[in-house]
Amino acid sequence: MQIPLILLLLTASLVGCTNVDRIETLSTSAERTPLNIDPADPVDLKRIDWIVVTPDNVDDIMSMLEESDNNLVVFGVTPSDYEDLSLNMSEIRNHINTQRRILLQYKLYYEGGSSSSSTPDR
Amino acid sequence: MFGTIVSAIKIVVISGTVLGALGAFWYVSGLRADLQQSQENVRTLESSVYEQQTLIEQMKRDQQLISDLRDDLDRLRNIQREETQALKNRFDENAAGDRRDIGDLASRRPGLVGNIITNASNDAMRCIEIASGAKLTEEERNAIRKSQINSECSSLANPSYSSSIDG
Repeated sequence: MQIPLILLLLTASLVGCTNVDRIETLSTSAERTPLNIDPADPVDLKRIDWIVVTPDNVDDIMSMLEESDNNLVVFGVTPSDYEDLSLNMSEIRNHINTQRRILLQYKLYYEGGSSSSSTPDR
Repeated sequence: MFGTIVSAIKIVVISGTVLGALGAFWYVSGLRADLQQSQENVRTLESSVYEQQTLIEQMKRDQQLISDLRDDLDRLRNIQREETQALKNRFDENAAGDRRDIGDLASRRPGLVGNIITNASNDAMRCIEIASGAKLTEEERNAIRKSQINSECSSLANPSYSSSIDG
């Protein structure tokens, strides 16, 4: 009578065992905290007046400077240098504008938001 | 002697029957456990497939967004190139297409040219302010005529203006 009992216990210990391997998947989600740095304040540039000085009006210009308590000196650029200065300003403006747009696009891509925020100016 | 043999046979038969029953029970239980594990695996795989599909959809959306942002940047660069070229042209030729020498013009009409380049310079500085993030004024936002716009950067300063409206 002992043999069947032992066999019964041995068999019962095997009940529930399976040959199929368990599949396990691991999903990890870790979103980075948005940086949320405030944008740089826009620049507030001073307006300037250009004066064109020629041999004919140089005396008038000097008188005008004298009346307005300025030193009698004019910082000058030649016409071609003026053109170059204008083009340089244009290049700087384009660079600032492009960089700002790229920055906004990165923010849009990584932090989400409406697409209009990437194109604040037109 | 005969009784002993019969008893032994009985024990063997009973043991065999019990073992057979237990074996069958073990086998069926194993099958059920396999089935349960397989069903669980199927659910896991289905869930995994769904996650993969969601991920693929997200990647497609990201690709589209990247493409849109690149297009936007290309448009901006093209507009800026056109405006810089227009500025170069403005120094070399007048609105009628005739050759212009700003130095010659300035020597003949210094006051007029002084005012023109002062206005243009201030417009250019306003462009830099806007490029750095300054808000547009209502006047800038609503400008639709050439006389109303910032001629240095109308694409930036005057979103309502289109050069086709009044040439």
